[in-house]
Amino acid sequence: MPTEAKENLILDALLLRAQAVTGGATYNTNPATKAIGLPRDAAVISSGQAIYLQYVRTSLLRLPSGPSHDYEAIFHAWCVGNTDREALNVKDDLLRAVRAGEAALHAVATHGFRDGDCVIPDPETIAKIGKAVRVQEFIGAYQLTA
Amino acid sequence: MPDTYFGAADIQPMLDTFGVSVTIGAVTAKCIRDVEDEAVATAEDGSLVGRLVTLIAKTGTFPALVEGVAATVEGTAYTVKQQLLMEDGATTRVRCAKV
Repeated sequence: MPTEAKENLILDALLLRAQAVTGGATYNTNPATKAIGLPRDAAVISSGQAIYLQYVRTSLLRLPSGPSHDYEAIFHAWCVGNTDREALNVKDDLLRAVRAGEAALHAVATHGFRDGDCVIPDPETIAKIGKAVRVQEFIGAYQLTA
Repeated sequence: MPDTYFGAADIQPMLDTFGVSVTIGAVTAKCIRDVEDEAVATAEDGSLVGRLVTLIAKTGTFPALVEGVAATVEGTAYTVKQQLLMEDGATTRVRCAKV
């Protein structure tokens, strides 16, 4: 069986890092849910801290001059907490977990892996449903050949 | 002098007819409860769906109504997240989050 899409492999590696966020002495938070994909069921988002990983898009990095093409894929991690402060802590814990195991990400994103911006998609979520959301971007670069 | 509202005397009897029991602080009164699923956070390529629980109360019914207090709606525990006066101010929309 051929290798799966690099985007899937990077998502799998990110999920493994997210699963390392388990509170204790190392992390401030212990999200009950860490998953690939956004939940469609409102009841899911209503329960506790969570990290949802999402593929966003892929771009060609450079015009090819040979048989290899360089790509860059963008991913979002939706970090959910019960307060604004907690959501930031979930985001920070995820970043630290990624840094602690960055070699695994570089193994699949062979041309570089880095974090991007963190944004607030809607500051009113805390008033609407009692949850705060921060979206952290990750960027993975890789090469594809025939 | 407190504000007066057109038809104020009719509001609570109307809520008593088809409202649900809500307790905030020491007061229990009937309010309209709306439950709605809605995309609450939308980013570049996706959105999270959340469950919005909103009460409509006669303004001034609950003296203890402030952000962060507990609200019990038909036996279920919520936290008040926001209160907003509606239209002429005779009724208040209360956003709640499940505890």
